[in-house]
Amino acid sequence: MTDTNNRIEKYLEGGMDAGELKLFEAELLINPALAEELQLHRDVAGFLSRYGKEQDFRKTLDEAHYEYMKEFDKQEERQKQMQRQYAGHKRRIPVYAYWIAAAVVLIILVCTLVLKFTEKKKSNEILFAEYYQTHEPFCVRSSDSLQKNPSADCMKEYSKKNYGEALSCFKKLLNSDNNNRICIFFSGISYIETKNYKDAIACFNILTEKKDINFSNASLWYSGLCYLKENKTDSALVCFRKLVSTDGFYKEKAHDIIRELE
Amino acid sequence: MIFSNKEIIDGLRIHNKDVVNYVYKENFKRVFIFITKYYGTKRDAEDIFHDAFISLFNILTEKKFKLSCAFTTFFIAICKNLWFNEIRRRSHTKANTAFNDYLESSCDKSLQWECTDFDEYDINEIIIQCEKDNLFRFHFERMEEICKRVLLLYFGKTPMKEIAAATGFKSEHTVKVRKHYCQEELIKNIKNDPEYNKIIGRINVVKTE
Repeated sequence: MTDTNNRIEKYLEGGMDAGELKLFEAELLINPALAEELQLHRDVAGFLSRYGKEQDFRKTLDEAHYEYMKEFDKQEERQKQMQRQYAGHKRRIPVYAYWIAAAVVLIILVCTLVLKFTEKKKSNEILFAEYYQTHEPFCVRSSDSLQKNPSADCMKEYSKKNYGEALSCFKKLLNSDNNNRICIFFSGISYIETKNYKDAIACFNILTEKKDINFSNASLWYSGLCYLKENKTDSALVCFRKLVSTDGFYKEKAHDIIRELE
Repeated sequence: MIFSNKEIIDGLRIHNKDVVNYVYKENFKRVFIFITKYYGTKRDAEDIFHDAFISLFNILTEKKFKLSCAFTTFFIAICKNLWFNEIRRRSHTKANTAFNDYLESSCDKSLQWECTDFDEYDINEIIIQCEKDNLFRFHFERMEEICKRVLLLYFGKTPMKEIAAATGFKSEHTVKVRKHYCQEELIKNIKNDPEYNKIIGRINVVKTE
């Protein structure tokens, strides 16, 4: 043990005589290192003297701590559970809602697909019904009012929607004049009305080949519609595309129908 | 059950379990909330609470103790100061941030007692004492068993003769030599610990304040 330690111990244990004590206390006032050392010895002595009591108290404290923390942890867990429940309650969407949403999406998807696949088959029929209109009959008069125009009677039947009678009438006239374009055109329309699309196409082809200024575009239009009815979409498209390249009455209609077909 | 200040102090002196339980029940949650707010964990809260309890117990056993404020105020003030000391020790940046946050949020712009007329004990004295005790305990508990026994018996005021009998030493003189050796060893280890110099540094700062 060092001399300093010996002196400190002697001082703390009360083993110094009056002279030594006076000298030591005087030194303490001028020597901070010694004062610090003395304080450390005092503190350590104090710590060691209460260590036993502290250890006994620790036992009581540890027991209380253990018991309290069990309760505290339970409370914390309950609180967390409540928070989770509250948060879950706020956010929770019932499971059936997901099933309903999924079912709706599925139905929409199926309907879209069904429509997509069935649309084309229907569309020729529908397009024909949407776009076909019976051609208005001409008011046929002879330049000479006294001389009756031969096709006038046929047109009367056509106007009365007696398409069978009108056809027979047009045929008779065509036998004598196979170049009568009015008869050819209205024969074609009459064939459409009597659902004979092949013969109708044949009539219109005559007029389109002749590039008749009055009937060429109308014939292309009705040919196209007849091809639709016959489910010959490609041939129909050829007719409508030809119309789009013209500036006639049927240009816009042909454009619309092409868009729908494509 | 509610205990008065006197009942709590007297109860702690005699290790009354009901009083200890009461102090836990009344204070732990507040300490837990405070410490977890200022960068601590539940484990930190438990340690600080424990340290505060031990410090308090040591004050009670050594001195006449009288409180002029509610026990809870006093106890929580110890915990808060112990915690700031701990985070200051762990990291200066965090401590400063926590300290500033605390001062900003607190109406009381001081970390001294929140009891207005409490001047018998200085908070710094208690905190430093707690730090010293932790350091001493750390080194003491790492000593040889025989040293621990001799020192505890000696400072527990057991007569030398009985210490010799209890430890198996031949004579009182041998016990005395051993006691000196062990005590010197303990003091040497404490002084060599960098934490000791930090504590001394803080004591000097407090003195100059």
